Amino acid sequence: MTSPSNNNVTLENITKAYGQRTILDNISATIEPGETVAIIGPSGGGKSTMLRCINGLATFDKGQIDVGGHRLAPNSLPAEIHEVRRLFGMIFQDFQLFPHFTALENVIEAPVQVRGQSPADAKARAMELLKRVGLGERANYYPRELSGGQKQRVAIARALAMEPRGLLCDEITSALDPELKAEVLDVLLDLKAEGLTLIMVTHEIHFARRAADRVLLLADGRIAESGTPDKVLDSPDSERAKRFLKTVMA
Amino acid sequence: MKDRLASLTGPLRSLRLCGLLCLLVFPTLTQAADPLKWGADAEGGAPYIFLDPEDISKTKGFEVDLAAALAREIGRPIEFQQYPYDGLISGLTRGDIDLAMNGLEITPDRLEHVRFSRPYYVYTLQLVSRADETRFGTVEEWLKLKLPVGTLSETAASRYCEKNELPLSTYDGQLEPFQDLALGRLDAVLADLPAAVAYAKSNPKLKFVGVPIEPGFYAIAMRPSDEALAKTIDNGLERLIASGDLQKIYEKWGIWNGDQESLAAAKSADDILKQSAAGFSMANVFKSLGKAAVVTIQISVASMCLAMLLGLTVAIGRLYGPAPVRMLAVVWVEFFRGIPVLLLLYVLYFGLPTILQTLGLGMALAPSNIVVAIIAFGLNYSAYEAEIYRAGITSVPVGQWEAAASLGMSKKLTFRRIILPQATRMILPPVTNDFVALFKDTSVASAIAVVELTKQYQMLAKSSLRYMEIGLATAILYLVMSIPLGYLARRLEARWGKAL
Repeated sequence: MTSPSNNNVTLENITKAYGQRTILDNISATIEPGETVAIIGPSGGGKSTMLRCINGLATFDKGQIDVGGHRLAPNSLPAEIHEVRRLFGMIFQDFQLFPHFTALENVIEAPVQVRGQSPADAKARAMELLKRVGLGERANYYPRELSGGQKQRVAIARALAMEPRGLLCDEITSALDPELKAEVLDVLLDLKAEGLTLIMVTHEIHFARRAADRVLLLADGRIAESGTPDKVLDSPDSERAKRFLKTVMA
Repeated sequence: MKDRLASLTGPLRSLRLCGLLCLLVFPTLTQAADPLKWGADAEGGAPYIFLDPEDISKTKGFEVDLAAALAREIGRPIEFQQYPYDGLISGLTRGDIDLAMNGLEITPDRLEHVRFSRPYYVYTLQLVSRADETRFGTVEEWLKLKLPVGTLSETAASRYCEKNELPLSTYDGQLEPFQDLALGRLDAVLADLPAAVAYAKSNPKLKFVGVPIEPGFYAIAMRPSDEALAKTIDNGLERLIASGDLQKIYEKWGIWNGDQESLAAAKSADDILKQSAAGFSMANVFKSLGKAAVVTIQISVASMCLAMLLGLTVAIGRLYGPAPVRMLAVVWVEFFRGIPVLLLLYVLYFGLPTILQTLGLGMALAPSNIVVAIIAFGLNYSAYEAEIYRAGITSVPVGQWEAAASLGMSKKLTFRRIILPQATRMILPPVTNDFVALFKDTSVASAIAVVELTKQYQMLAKSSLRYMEIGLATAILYLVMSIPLGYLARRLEARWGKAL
């Protein structure tokens, strides 16, 4: 085993169960800085849970996760979890914008309240980010006045405002109409080009093939397949992976 | 034999027929022995009429003695019937009672509705202060200072204080204003002399100030249609005055004084009122109601603020506190939701000073009646607001917590910046609802001598007997206050709705 670099995300023997049901079964994986990893697999296979464990939103029963020199364990303290969260932003399937704030206020909230930036600086930076995701014009709109794709792009800007090393994306296009998916995925491609680490749970097989450096196929709480998109998607080794891909590609 | 029988039954039969005719034609004759129903309020207190401390099934007082003497004089029993003081005039009109004798002053507005007998007592108003009072020694000095004063509600004394624009608390009982004076909640009590004699003279903490003022007459009120009865009562009283029996009764109760000499001269209520003009005008009514409305607003706004603050604290305790705090929060909600606010008012207002004094803290810490009302309603409504807050907070999706957490926001920060603002928007409609309800509930505060809008209405309506006009004016005032509130809430909802 190679010695883990400080900037890697390393999962070691992660196990998590809800009562009798094992969600994650002894999962180990390493994600390198700047890498784009797509996690695919059948529903209930543990994809989202794995992602949430990396951000400390879900706890786990056994194992450890190292993120940039910080370690998450089953008994991690809030302070430690907090450090990890500074390194990775999270984007949710249902956006979870703060509905009582405008797009701009959503983006400046954490920089001002958590990092202690001056409102003026935070605002300038937030406007840059909103322009970057193509929403400079919509800065003063409330979430309910935005389309799904626009909301998700605000959410991305909001996460970027905390200057993370990477983003954890949890099925971020699932709730969007096909024409709106593209605008969000384009933003992700931009971010990849800029060198952000992207760990994304996705159902977009085509996007995974186009954008991912590596695909992890998670089924029944285990990593059934791991490798380049072409390898995993076109010639998987395991029966479980073949069965899954058959249904998705059909 | 047969003849004799016939001659006997003949007159008998005609006698019976005659009696039947009498019953039909002169029903009043047969009623002569029926007792007259005398309405008075035994809660009003000494020395008028009060429950005998040694046997509370009996009543005592100079009016009880007077009623007995009068019954003898007119040859018809007079039966006491408990009736609320401020409903006595309506009781007459409704026919519940035939006589109202309970220290009723002859006033022009009352004269419009009842026939007063000739006066049976000349009352004066006596100013009473605490024994250690040094700020005033005469009525004139007192009038200038505008200090908090207490009176029995809807009496000559309360009207006198209103006329002089003094900060007034009105009470339903005779005893309570003197208690509050001794406790320091009031600086003076203005009472009819008999009441002052009964409650203040023997109290070493209190003293009489100056000479009695504003003489007036007590008389027995009857229905204007009962003129015959009124004549009988007038004559009966006249005989009691002339024979000196009335003086004996008053001397027994220690309320005989020189003023009573004029009783013999005062023939009828009309004579007395020739000089006094009716002081009723709608402008004055609105002025009084307006002042009372301000009190209503003060109490409801302040207690709602308190309720929201406490409610939020309790809701947070119940949602996020450790087990004992959660338990305490549940108890809090159940307790204050479960007891009537009237009880709370009484316990806090009358009970608290006793506890404070037992603890040797004195009255320095005893709150005024308005403050007590604010606390009582604040506590009562905090239970409701706590539950509304709890529902509002839990209705914010858990994803909002997660989104904030993923941005590095702490739980506390998330609650303050993200969860609470959304919860507040969601609970706006039920809270507005509660506020309007509280607004109306504050009328209960009159129980602890707060003169708020409804109490002021009662006072004005009962003294002028214009229930309709003043009622309408009061309703308009309530609506003028509550409708903008609803409008404001809808505006806020519309504005915030955009953000939810």
